[in-house]
Amino acid sequence: MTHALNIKKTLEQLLTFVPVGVVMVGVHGTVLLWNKKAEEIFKKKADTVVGKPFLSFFPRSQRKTITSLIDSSAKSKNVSSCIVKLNNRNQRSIEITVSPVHNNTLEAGILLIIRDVTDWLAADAERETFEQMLLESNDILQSVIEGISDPVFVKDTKGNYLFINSTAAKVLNKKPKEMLGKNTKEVFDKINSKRILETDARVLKTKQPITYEEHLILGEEEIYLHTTKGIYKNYKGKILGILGISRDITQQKRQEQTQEFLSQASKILASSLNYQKTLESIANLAVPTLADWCVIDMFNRKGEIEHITIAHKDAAKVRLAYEYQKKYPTNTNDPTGVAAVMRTGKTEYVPIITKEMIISSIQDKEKLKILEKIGFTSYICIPLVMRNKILGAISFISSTSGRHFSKKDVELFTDLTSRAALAVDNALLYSAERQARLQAEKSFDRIARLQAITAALSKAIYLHDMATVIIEKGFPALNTSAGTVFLYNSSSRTIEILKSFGYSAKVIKKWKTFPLDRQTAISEAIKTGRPVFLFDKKEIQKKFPSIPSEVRRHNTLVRLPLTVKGTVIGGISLNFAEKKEFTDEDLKFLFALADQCAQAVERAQLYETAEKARVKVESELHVRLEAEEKLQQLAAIVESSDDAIIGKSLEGEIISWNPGAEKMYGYKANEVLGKSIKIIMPFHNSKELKKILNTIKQGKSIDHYEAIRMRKDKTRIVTSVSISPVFSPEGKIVSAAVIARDITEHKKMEDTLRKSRDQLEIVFQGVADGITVQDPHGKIIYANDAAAEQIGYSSAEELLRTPVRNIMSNFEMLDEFDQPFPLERLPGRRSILGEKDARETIQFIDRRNGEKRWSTVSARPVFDQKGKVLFAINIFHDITQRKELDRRKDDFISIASHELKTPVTSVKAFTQVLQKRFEKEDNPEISHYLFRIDTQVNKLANLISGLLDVSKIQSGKIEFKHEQLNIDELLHETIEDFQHTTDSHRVIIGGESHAIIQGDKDRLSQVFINLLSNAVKYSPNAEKVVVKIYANKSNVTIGIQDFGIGISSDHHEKIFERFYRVKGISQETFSGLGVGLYISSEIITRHNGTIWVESTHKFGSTFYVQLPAVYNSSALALPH
Amino acid sequence: MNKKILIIDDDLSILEVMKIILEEKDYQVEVISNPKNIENKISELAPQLILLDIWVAGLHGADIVKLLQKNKTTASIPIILVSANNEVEKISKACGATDFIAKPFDIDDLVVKVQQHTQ
Repeated sequence: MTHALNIKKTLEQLLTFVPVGVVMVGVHGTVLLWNKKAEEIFKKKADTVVGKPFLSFFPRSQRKTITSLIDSSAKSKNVSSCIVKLNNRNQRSIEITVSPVHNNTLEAGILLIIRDVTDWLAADAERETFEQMLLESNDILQSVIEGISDPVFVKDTKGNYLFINSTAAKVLNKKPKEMLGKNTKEVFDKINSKRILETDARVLKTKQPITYEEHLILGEEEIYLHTTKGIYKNYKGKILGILGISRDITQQKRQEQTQEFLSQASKILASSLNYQKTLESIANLAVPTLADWCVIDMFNRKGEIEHITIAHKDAAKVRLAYEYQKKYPTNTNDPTGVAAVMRTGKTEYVPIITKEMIISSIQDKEKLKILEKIGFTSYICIPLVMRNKILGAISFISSTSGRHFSKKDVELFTDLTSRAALAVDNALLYSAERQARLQAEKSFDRIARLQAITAALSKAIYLHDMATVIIEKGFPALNTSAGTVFLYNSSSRTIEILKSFGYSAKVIKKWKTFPLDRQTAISEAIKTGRPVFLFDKKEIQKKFPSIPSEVRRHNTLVRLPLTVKGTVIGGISLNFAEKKEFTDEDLKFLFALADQCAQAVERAQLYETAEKARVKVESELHVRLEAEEKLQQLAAIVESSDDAIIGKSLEGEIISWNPGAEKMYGYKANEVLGKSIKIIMPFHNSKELKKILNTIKQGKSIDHYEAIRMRKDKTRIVTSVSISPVFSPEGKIVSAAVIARDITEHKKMEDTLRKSRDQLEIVFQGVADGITVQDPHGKIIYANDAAAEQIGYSSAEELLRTPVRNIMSNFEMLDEFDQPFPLERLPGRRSILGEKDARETIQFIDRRNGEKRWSTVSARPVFDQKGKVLFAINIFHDITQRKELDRRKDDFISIASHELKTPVTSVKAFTQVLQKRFEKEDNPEISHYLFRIDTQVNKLANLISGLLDVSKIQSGKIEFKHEQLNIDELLHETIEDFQHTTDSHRVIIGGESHAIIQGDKDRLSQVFINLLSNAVKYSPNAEKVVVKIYANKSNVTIGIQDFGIGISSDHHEKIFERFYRVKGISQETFSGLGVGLYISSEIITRHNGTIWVESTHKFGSTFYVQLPAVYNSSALALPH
Repeated sequence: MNKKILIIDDDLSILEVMKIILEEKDYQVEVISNPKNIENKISELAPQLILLDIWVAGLHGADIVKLLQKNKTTASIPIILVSANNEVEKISKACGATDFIAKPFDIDDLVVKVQQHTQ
């Protein structure tokens, strides 16, 4: 029992304190139990309610609800609940839950759980209101968005459309239903959806809104949208998808494109007056922006429809189109298409072309195949109309793009076409105007030509010249491709080519002359005296089958007779490749040309006949006069000649004897005439005479035959004889002419000369130097073998046979400084011009074998009594070996001084390292020693540099700078530097030059230092050196004066020589190599200056340097 | 890190004294007296400055300068020609060397030039 009591107690406690009201109601509806919470809810204490009816605590209106709840719960034995209101002031609502009690241990009754739900209900109500509001606002938003005239859409992150307003759907030509819940990929085709999704992805990635222009192709339509896309998020910030708003700018865009196109088109149309080119450009502009194809047709001259241009982006397709056109030319009577448009002037517009339409309109299978291949989808053909005249038509065709032209397109194309028409009209007007102008220019040209021809013909007096004028000046005016001027010979009835052009040589040769009866066009013209015009190749071939093929292949032949006073004297022919249409102007020109030509031929023929007659008369007269003149001349020669001129018969009888013969042989003419020639032959050598006479009888001559003859006084003379036969006018040998010259003296001289020459020759040949003798023209007239050898010839004879030019071309000549040696400096040449002792050192490089040879070449002229140069004698002295030795010596000095400098460098550097170390230790003695070493090393280095300079000067390798220098500054600087190196002497400077000189600063400074050092060195007992500088207009002079031992005058020049050293009488010697002054002198010489010394032994010396001044501001500064 | 100077000369005594002078001035000094394989040696040493004698055991310094200028790794190294040749200034200008020093030199001049080209 106790246990049970405990449980009961526990339960009671539990009931009392549970946070819900617990009420037990008995079977009679009275309250049995009423816990603490119930007291709170009902605001009634338990003791006041137990035993009272439970319903009494509720308002009447609520009691029924509670009763039915309890009843139904009792029946169903289920837990159920209801909410009722309490009748108190607060109007609180409570929830009553009924649980039937089955347990027998308790008294029968029901357990009610009571909760105060007033607050909950209030919250619920609030929520409901909120929900309601939400629903309403969504509706408002929807209607707002729907009301926006721009397309709006909402997508989730995967691209599915969550919302889309009807404008958006409409723009995309869809219904909202078709898009909602669908993915972008399902709504759009591949290309479009790819573009859209790409921007979506970008927006999602960057989380930044973007605005861009969208171009969508929806089937046949293209739309342009100006779209802004951004992300939208939930309240937690999670990205839910994309929100987009667009603006349809398709119209605007089209307008822009159209404007752009029209403006470009206008530019093109205005840019050229060549309408064909203009139209081509327009067609190319339209393709592929506006249409896939653009074809422009126009009427040609014959009224046929012709493609002016076909444009397509693919050239192969264009070719295909042209082929198609060729195969199926446009029939002007076609009921539709270009022909109809060009006939009626009405635009044809087929917005959609279906396959069926094509099939039904085309019967030809092949044609159909091609058209199907091209696959037309839309078509506009607009006439090109100008001033009520239909010029052509422009067709715009779309095919592969699948575009269908809209009415807007028709408007655009019509606009374009009318602009094009205007341009074409302009071009045609221009071209017509130009043609008219050309025509005028052409006829002006003709007149000018005709005048020129008339002028030229009046000057041409020969037939050939006349024909040249016609062909060169007349024919080109008509663009003739071939033409000829013929002469007609009426006596032989033949036609002759005078001159032609445009024919092969073969034809001209074959047809040079041909009978009048030959069946040719020119024969016809000459025979009939009437012009022949032929305008057809076939006709020409049929009518004149035998004329050359070169003529037959022309399409137009013109043959004009040349007639003078009714008589035909020739003809001209003109051939033209094309079928020529002659204008009146042309014909006038042609006939005028023929007329001019005929007159000129007649004139020329007359002139030639007259000329021939004149020439004949003149030449006969001339021959006679000439013969007489010759005779007179000959007689004069014979009479005045110093040579003996003798005529003798074939038997040897003297038949003429001139004064020369009288003088030479001592016989007067009358003493010898009629006598035998043997009279002057000392040995009566009949054999000799016979031989001579036989030679003459054979018609041969004997030239320069040396013979001994005898004078009247019996003395012998040596003669040089030439004998030749004399012919009669019939060509018969009738006598002999003898010309003899006395060469006795000459012969003697020659013998003497030969003897002495032989002797000289022996001497010359023995000389080791090469000797050549040149005549005043430079020709080598003598050379010894040594010369030949030096020049690279095997013997003097070979050398003498070779022209000087060839000899010289074998050699490259260089001077001592390796510079090319100019020919005009050659001593031989200078001697010929009179120079008495020309001398040069030349290096000869033999081009044939590369051999190098040094020679000193000296030349002297030999003069005749009048002082004219007879010869130049050249002597070549080979100094190759000496040069080689010099070179080796220079190399040696160069290498030696370089090698010497290397140890000097080490010594100097080590000395200085030591100096630095001892400086710190403050040991003046050691520092002094080291200073002495350094000074001596510097001296050594200077000596070596001097040697190097000498070797450079010797080899010509020294180079100088050419700077403008202020000589005063340079001298002061140098003296200042120099003063630091000497304690014993003070350098005093006086004067100023104010001059600028040109030269090498370092080298000039070297000269002054050398002169200053010498001044100090050679005046050991003096205390000063005086430097003076002064200038005149052209020169600067610097004098450096010492007060020392002086130099005796016999040394004044030699001291500037290399390695020369003065040895005093007292044998006092001074250190040095004897190169300093040599170097100084070379440096000054190379500056175009001079250096000299003025000195008296024991009274000091003054060295002067004089340099040319480039600029001198004051020539007045004088020495002190 | 001390700056690295490379001296190329076939005279060992000169190499020695130049090394002393420059090391005293805190340079890291490398020397080459045999020009064999000189290009590789220089590439390996990678000096900041080269002091080069005009004649190094039969090889002309101007040729070495040109050789180094062709090589990418050595082209930017400044080179001072050091020579007893009186024409060293002319030669250095002609072959494109950075500077020159005439032998015999004052060590102060040497140091100044080296400092000038290693800054």
